Amino acid sequence: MLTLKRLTKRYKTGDLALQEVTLDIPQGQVVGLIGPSGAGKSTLIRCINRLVEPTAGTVQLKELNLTSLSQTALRRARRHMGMIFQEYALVERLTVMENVLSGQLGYVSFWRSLLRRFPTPAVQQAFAVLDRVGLLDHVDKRADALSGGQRQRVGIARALLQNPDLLLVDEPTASLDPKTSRQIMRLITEICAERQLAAIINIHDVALAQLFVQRIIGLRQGQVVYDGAPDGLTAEVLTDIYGAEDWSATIRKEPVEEPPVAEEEEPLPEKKLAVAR
Amino acid sequence: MTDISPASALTHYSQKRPWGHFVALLAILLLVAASFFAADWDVTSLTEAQKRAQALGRMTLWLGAFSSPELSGEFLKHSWELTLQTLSAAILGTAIAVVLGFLLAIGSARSVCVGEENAVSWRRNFPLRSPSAVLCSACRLLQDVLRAVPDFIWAIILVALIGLGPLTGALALALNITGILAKVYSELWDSIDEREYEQVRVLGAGRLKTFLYGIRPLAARSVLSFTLMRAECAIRNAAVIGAVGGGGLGAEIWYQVRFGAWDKVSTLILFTLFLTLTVDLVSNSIRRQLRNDPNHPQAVKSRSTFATLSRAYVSAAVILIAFTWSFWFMGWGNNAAPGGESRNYLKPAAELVSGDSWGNLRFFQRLLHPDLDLAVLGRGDTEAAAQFRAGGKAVSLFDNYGPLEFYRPAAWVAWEGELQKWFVWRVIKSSTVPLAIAVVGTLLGMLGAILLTYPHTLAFQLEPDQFTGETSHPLIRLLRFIHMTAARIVGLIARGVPEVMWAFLFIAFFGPGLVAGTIAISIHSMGVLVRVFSETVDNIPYRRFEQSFMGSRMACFGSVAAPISWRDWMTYTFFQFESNVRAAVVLGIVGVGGLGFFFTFNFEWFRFEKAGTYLLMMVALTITIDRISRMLKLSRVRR
Repeated sequence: MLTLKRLTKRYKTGDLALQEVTLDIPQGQVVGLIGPSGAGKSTLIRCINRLVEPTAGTVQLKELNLTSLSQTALRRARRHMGMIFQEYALVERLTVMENVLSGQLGYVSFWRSLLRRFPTPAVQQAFAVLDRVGLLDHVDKRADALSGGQRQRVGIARALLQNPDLLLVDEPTASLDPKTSRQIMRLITEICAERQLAAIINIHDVALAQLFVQRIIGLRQGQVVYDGAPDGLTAEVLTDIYGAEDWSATIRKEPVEEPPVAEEEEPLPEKKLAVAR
Repeated sequence: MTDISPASALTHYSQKRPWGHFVALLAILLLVAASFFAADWDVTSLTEAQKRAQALGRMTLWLGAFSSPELSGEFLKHSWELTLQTLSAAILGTAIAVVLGFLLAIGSARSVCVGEENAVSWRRNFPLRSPSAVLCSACRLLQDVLRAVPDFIWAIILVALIGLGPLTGALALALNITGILAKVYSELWDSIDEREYEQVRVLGAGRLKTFLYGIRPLAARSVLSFTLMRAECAIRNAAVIGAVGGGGLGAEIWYQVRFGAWDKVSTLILFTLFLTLTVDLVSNSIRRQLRNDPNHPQAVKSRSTFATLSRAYVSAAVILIAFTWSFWFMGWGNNAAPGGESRNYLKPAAELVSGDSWGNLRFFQRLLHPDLDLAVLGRGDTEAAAQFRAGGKAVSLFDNYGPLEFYRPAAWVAWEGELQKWFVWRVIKSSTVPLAIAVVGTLLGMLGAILLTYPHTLAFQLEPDQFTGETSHPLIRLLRFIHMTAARIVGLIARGVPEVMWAFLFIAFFGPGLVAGTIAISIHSMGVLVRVFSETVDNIPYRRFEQSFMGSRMACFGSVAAPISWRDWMTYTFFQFESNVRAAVVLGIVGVGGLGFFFTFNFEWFRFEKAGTYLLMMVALTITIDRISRMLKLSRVRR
C-alpha cells in the first residue's frame, strides 16, 4: 500500500539523512523503525507526508504518487495520513474535545474552523474515538490538565479523526514511563489491527518494539541495514545498526506471550486532580 | 564516529574564529565615526566657559518658568479634559491600527501568506515566484511605507486633508502604528519554527487554518505583549502630536507656548507625565501576567468552563468599553477650552466619507510626483537642461577629475561639490542627520541600559539568595530594594517622557541641533531598553546562575546573565534603532534639523514636489534599514 522507491534526502547543510531507501508496506502492517539518533528515522516519516521535502525518489500511497503532488493536492493527500508525535503536539489551552476535533481541520470549511463549529457527524465520531482510547471522562478538560499518557491518547484520537489509511508515529513513548509506554503501544497496534491501518513507528526501545510490531526496519546513517521479523534481531544485527555493545540484556530471548492487559492508567495524584478541575 | 585528536581539535577551533563579531564591531565603530564626520556636532555649550554659563542661564530660566504651574480649578479641569481627549485619540488610533495591522500582517507574513513551497535556492526569495509571493511582497511594501513615514508627518499631511483636531492625531497614529504592528506581528509569526505546528500541517489544512490553529496561538502572548508596548508608545505620541495639529494636550501646550504662558504649559506637562507614567505602570502589570516567568511559576489552573469563558469576555468587554468611550468622547465629550464651546471632532471623518475632503487631495497629487531634479543631470526636459548647463548649474561630475583619480582627496571634494548642485543629493545628505542621531543615540542608550539593567533586575537585587546561597542581612536587603526602586524610577521617567519633550529640554541647554536630539533619543532609548533587558534577565531560570555560585552577584551578572541575554539584547536594540531613526526625523521637525525639518519646511511653503522627494527619502531609508536587517538576520527571523 505504501511504497518508497530510492527515497533520498540531503539537507541544506550537506548531511545525507536518507540514502535511497526502498520499502514496501502492505495494508494493516505495523512496522517498527529503529536506529541510532541521527540515523534518519524522523526524516523518513516526515518525507512520507512531505513535512520534509525529499531530495530524490518517490513515495506512493495506494495509487497516489505523493512526491509529485502540487501543494493543494498534497494537502488533500495529507488528510489520509495520521501522525502521532513524541511531545503530543496538542494545543494546551484548548479542551480535549477541541484538540480531537482539530483532526477534522482538513475537511471543514474555513468559516467553520474560524468559529470552531465542527459538523455533528464529526462530533459524534470524536466521541466514539475518545471512548475507544478511554478518555470519555475527560472530554471537557483542558489539555494541560492531563497526564503524559492521557495526552498521547488525545494525540492518537486526533489522528484517528482524520480517517487515515496510514499512521506515522514519531517516538510515541519517548516521554512516558515504561508501563504507560506499553499501554500506548498496545493501543496503537490494536487500533491498527481493528481498522486495518498500516503504521510506521519510530522507536528507541528495541525490546518494546519487539513486543508489539510485526516487522522491524533498522536504519543506520540513512540506509536500511535490517528489514525483517522482530525475532531476527540478533546481537550481530543490533551491532550492525547501533555499533558494538553488549546486547544480551536488550534482546528478547524467546517469543513470550504478550503480558496480561493491565487495567486503566493510574489516576492522577490527588493534588493535581484538585487543581485540574 | 572517529576520535578527534587534540591536534585536529585545535585546528578545528582555530578555523572557527567568530569573524562575524569582529565585522559587526568594526561596522558599528565605522558607523559611529561616520556619524561624527557626516554631521555637525556642536558641543561648545559644554566646552567653552562663556557659552556654558549662557546655557546654564537659559536652563535655569527655563526651569524657573516651569516651577510655578497654574493650579486654578478651571484650568485643572480643562487640562483633565484634554488628557482624556489625548487618551481617547490614542485608544482610537491603536484600535484601528491593531485591526488593520493584523490583517496586513497576515498578508506580509511569509509563513501565513506563502506557506509551504517547493522553491529552492535563489527562487526562494524571488518575489514573482507565485501569486501569493507577489501579494506578500506587496503587503510588505505597504507596511514599510506606512511605517517609514512618522506619525508626525502623517499628521501634517492629514491636517491638510481634514483639518486640525484629535481625530487627525488618532488617524495619523493609526496609519503609522498599522505599519509597525504589521511588521512586528508578521515577524513574530514568521519566527515560529515550522516544526512547532507540524500537527496542523499534517492534517491537510489550508494556510489560513494552519494560521488559526498553529501559528497564531503559538505567538499569541508575544503579540499581545508587543501590542501593549505599542499602545503605550501611542499614548506618549498622542500627547505630543498636537504640536503639529493633532489636538489634545500637545495642541494646547503648543498654543500656550506661543503666548509664553509658562505656568499653564507647566501644568499641561505635568498632566502629560501623569498620563504616560500611569499608562506605563498599567501596561507593565498586564504584561507581567502574560509573561512566562520560570522563577515564579503560576500553578496550572484549569478553571471551570464558566471562569475561563468569563475571563475572556471580561477582557473583551473592557476593550470594547474603552473603544466605545474613546469614540463617544471624541465626538461628544467636553473638550471646550475655558469660555469656548465643545466641538464634535468626528465630523471631519464624515466629510472624509462624503467626499468634500478628497477635493483637497489635489495637493497630494503633487506630493506623489517627487522632484527628482533630473534636468540638472542633463536628462528629461532638454530646454531646462540646456539652461542649467549654460548657467553652470548642471552637474558635470568628471569635468575636473576623472573617475580614475579616486586616490586624490581633492577629487572627492570636487565631486561632492558638483553633486551638491543636484537637489536629490542634498536630500540624501539631509538624511545623515537623523541617521547620525539614531546611531549615536541608540548606542549611548544601549550602554546606559546595560549598566542600569543590573540594579533594575529582580533576580540580582531581591532574590540573589536563591542562586548564590547567601543569607543577607535585612539592612542589605533593604538597601538593594532601594537600589532597584531607584533604577526602576529612572527607567520609568526616561521612557515615560516623550522624546520630543526631552529634546525641548536639551535644546534649552545646547541650542537646537544634533547634540540635543541625540541626548533626547539616548535617554528615551535607555528607558525603553532597560525594561526589556531586565525582563530578559529575569526570564532566565535561576538554575542557570548556579554555575557561578562561588562568584559575586556582579560576576554572575557579567559571566552568566549578560552572555545568555546578549542575543536578545541586540535584537531589542536593533528594533529600537529602527524606531529611533523615525523619532530622529520627528525631532528634525521640532528644531533638530535634517530630513524632518526640510520636509516640513517645503510642505508648509506648498513646495509639494520637493516635500515629496523628502518623503521618498524617508521611505527609502526605512526600507534600506529593514532589508539590511533581514539580510543579516538581525531580527531573528529564521525562515
